[in-house]
Amino acid sequence: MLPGDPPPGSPPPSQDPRFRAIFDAEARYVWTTLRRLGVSPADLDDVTQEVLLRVYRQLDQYDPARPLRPWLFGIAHRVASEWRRYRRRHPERPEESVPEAVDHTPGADETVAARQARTAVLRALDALEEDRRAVFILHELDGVAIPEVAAALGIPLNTAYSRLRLAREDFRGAVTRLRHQGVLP
Amino acid sequence: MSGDERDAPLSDDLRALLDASRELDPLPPAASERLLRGVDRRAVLGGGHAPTESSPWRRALSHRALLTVVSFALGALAGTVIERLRHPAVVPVVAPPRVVYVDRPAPPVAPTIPAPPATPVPVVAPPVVVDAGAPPRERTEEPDDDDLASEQATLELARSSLRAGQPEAALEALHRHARRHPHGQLVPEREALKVRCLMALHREEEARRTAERFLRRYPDSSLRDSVEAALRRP
Repeated sequence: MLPGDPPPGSPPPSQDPRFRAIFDAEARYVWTTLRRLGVSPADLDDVTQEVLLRVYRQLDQYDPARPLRPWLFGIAHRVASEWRRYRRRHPERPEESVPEAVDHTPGADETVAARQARTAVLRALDALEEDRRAVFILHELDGVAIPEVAAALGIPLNTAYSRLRLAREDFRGAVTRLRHQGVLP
Repeated sequence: MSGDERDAPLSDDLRALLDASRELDPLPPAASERLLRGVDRRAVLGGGHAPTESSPWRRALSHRALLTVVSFALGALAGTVIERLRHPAVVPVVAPPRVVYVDRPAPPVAPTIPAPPATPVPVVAPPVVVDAGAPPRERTEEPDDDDLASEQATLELARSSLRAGQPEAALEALHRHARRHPHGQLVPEREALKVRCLMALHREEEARRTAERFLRRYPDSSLRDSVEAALRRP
């Protein structure tokens, strides 16, 4: 049994009210965050389950006085890093890949422009180095203040600022390239 | 000065691009149920340490972690053996740690030194770092990482005290933070915690005033919800 695991015979995570509340409110956030962190559609389901399991195990470490999403992001970032290390050594085989559209069924009210923007941002994020990417997503897309970003990722404040600056430069360059390629108008 | 002001902010068109993709992705059909079932199954099986057919990446990582631990253990064992072979006579006889003479006061000199050297050996005192003698660090515009770490440690102490049901100790830690870091990076976090401490001490009026001040100073803070929630708690 691992730390945080329920004692034998106790109800499963889905019946734990605290975990269930987080799941109902934030499963989409975890899913989207992992996608933004570069987890491939083929592994998204599996990696999301792993993140949620760790959330369940670490519930006692969560301080309700602090915002929930940066805490979730920290866990997702660590699991995504593990996944990325594996994928560097074991690239996805063609039969494993899942077309983007399968995992990203757009909402009925989502416009073509919004879909295009979402795809372009994901592609631009792919151009960012892993640690810079995490700071960029948490600050620019999730709207988290940099001191909180630094705390969530366990990095010094100056490092967070520095990564944000570099990530912005990279993002600008990536979007410019996408425009040259005709992906964005 | 915020980080946004330290370098060129993103242009309006890039901001618009990010705004357009800020919305969360919808979960695919039936994904919610599938995810919950998966988490339940992994919790029962031992989670990320119990590889499943669908997660080769976790299985590989588990194997790698096991390999790392085994390698480390073998390396440590080999190192110990080699060290003992090279220096057989220097194997120290470690005195049992619990040799305490309860009937008499313990002697002032540590009795665990096995054998004093035959000739006097000059004792070189280790260098002592005296903070008072060091020149004061100049305050720069860049936040100091040490200061931030110190701030975080103090606030973490306050949080853990609060969690342990010791709001007085938590409040004391917050006062310490206020004395040491009156203009620190984590002042909003401190003030938000203070509201919770005061509520836990049933000092509702002070908590309300602190919360009002917080909301005036940091109207867009991500801690706003938790401050308001703290005030609502009985």
